[in-house]
Amino acid sequence: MNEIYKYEVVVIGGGFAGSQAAMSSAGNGAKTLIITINMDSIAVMPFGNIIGSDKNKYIIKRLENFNSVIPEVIRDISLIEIKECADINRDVIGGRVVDKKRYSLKVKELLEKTERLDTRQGLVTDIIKKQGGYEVITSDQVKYSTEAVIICPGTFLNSEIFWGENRVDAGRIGEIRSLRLYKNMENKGFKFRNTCVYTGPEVDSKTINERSRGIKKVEGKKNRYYISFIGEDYFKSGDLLKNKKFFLLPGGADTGEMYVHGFENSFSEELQIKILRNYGGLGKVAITRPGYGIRYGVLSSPQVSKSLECGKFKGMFFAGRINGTDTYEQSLIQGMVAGVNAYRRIRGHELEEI
Amino acid sequence: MNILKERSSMYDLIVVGGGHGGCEAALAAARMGLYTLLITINIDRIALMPCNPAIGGLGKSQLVREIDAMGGQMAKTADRTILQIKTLNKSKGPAVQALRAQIDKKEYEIEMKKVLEKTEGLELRQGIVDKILIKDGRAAGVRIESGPGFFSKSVVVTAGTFLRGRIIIGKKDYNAGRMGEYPAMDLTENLRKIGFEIDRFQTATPPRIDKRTIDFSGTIIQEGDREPLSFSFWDEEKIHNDLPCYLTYTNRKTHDVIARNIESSPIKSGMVETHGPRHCPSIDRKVINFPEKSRHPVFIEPEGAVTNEMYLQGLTTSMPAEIQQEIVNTVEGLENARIIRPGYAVEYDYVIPDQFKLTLESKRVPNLYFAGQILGTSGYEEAAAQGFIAGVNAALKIKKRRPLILTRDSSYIGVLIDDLLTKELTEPYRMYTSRAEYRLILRSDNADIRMAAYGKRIGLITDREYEMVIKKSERVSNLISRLKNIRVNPSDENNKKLKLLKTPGIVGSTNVYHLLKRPETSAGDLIEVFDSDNGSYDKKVIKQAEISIKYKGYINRQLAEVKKLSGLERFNLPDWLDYFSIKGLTYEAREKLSRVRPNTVGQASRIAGISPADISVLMMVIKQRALQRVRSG
Repeated sequence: MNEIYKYEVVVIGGGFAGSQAAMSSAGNGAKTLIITINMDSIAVMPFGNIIGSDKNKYIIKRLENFNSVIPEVIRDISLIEIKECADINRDVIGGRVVDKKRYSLKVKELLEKTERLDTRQGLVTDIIKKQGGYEVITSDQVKYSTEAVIICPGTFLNSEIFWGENRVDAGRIGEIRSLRLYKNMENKGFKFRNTCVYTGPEVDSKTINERSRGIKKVEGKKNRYYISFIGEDYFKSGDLLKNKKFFLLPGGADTGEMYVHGFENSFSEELQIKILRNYGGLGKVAITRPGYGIRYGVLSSPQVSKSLECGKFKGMFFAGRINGTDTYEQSLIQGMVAGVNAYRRIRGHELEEI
Repeated sequence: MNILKERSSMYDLIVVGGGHGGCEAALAAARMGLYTLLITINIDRIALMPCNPAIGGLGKSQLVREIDAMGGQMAKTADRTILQIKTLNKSKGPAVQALRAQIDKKEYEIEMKKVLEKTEGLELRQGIVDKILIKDGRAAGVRIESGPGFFSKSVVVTAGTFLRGRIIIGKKDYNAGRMGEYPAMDLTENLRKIGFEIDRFQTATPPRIDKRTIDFSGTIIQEGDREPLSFSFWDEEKIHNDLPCYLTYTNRKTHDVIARNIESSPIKSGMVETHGPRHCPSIDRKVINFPEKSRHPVFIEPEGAVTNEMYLQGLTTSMPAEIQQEIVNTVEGLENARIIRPGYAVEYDYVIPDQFKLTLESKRVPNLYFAGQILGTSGYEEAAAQGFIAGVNAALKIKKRRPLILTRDSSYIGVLIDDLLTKELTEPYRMYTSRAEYRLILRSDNADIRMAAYGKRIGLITDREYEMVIKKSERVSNLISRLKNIRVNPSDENNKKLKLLKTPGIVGSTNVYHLLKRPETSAGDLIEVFDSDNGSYDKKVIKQAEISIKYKGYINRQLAEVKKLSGLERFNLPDWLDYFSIKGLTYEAREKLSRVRPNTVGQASRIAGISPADISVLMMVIKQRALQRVRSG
């Protein structure tokens, strides 16, 4: 095998878990490769661009203790900080709203600049156990040999997105999913279950009427966000949405799109717009991207130990959503632990526990 | 601050696709006052450059500058995201000089999206269009896959490579519009049902490599110009950050690897049967077609200011990824280079362009326009130019105004559209200077003077901007007459000055104008030496005057030719003409003319398969009909 395809650790997936895992593994000293379906989709935030609420602050703190640069990146490119405040349906919201595009570009830059870390665009189709490690195969038929592998496919395994009556085989809107890896892992005895997660719509800030009584503008130094309250005359959709409020978060310094936090759903577009327009200041709001649901495969029961290593296969780690978790922070810390432990595994050190 | 306009649910225009064509179409229309919606599969991929990280080049620079002069966007967005810019062919004649800029791809996307979002009356929407809605035979909106219909008075389709897109690497293929992105599978069927004839093309992109793994000592550095430049006529010229490119070459080893593995090249294995661009052949194709060549150039270009990804211009291939890696490593400087994104080919549907009018409106379905790669072209600039024309004409039609039709003698855009409508495409169409017969008139440097009047008429440049161009044009004429009036006597002093300028001395009295006709002289130098008032002229004005004087003979010849040939352009061919009933036309001519339905006899004369004899017959028919009209009138 060509030396160029030989690594100590291969990370599959370029989301929050994968990018942190790759930086940790390489940062500790392992020759690492991160493979992602699309190099333009590193550390994308489809579920709202807010990170580091009070509840999760300890995770960010722990990342810092582990020398992760991510907390610093979050601080550097945050647009505005939202103080903790209670929301009836989604218990609390709080943390830093980050510039989505800049976050993605910054993490990509960091990956590219990390020593011992290589980046590669590719769709992994199979992982085969070999003497002393694994062979990772991509759809363009390249075979990478590695001692350890960290699997962080996020929402891309055998996934489908849906809203209203609409269904598309996709890992995220506009992006192809990973099907063959899912099937090949099933054939190797991994058990999966389906889970769902929902994204909120994004709206055009030009169409928000900030003078309405039902909306509160909160100004930061450079950016602002809105809290929009449900109108009193609205009750048809049932109690589900009564008394609820939405947070409209700026998508970035260069864009007028705002993410509607608190309205993660998979209703039809007509219904999404109908509901939104009953909210304060949103009477004429225009959706730029409808919210949608993603159904995707995750491991059916915990198949990893506290070190995130797979019970059955030494040197195989799972991190992020595939373990059934749900937030960016949880993905980050798992990526960190898996990255550190993959390194420790190949060097014969004892593994850390989460 | 937040002014909410009362809006009906009816758009004036819907643009399908957010690439370079879609952006220009939507911006032009919205700026002309149309309530416009742009729908794209993924809002995070607006104005993405899937191939080379550059805008401009020979022939393409003219297109960008022409739309810029009329109020288009591409040049302005380029100016804000330049990594390096230079004037190509500086040592050659002005007709083949062009600007080319390396662009920071991601910043370009962000910048273009920002411009779209800030444009009044323009909305963005994420969605996959699967159906064009038609009412009473006219375009009336689109349906997106998730169900809702969006209604409008007109539609521009700029779908790029996404219609039934299929990506090929080696012997593997899968459905995708671009790598990692799913295609639009259903719109083609809908277009077929409407009655459009559709064919398939293919294009390919080279691998991207990791900058850290390049040995630059084995390459030749390629720097940008150090003088102030701007792509747009309306932007301030400045010296740009210069991120260098690098030049290296393939060699025998490279060609051996390719020859050894040629069976796995999609062009040999039959994985790709459609036609790709011959102007941009894959390295596999170059090695097959030019076995005698011992090397081909490879330019290493940055994809952005911060990314380590580097583009390999000249090394396009869709061979299996491992072989791509082997090929890259044979090249000097790239011995240890590592591929980040393998190259690939993409095959996609395009709509045969002779089904459209010079406004890019469909002949079959009024108010439905197409532009860009979906009409069989290649290149960001070609797409932008068509998008601009389609968007402007959609707006003019809604406002019941005269359409914007550009002729071959007015612009490269005119050449592009005329070629598309009359020539049979055997490969994706790309602009070159050689396609423009009047290239000495249609230059990159004078696009503002040529096109600003159109921009003013359609309302996309302001009166003030138009005045600026008129003033510039006046200053050029003034300078030309002034140079005629600056006498130079054969004094020793003057001959000494001329000697310093490396041009022979004079024996009789002459003027600066005549001295400037000498090939070795430059206007700047002569003005500095012989004009006491030398500080008052802008360098652009000096350049225009110099070109007019130096190339006067050639320019006049081309202008005369334009005048002569535009004779045929003056004869309109009515829409309703039944070519099959015209005796004397060959059967092929009847068929072709019925299909293309040219607007003028001039356009008819350029259709492949139409002979001079056919043209004489057409002229006779027109004269007869005119005569009949006179008699019956």
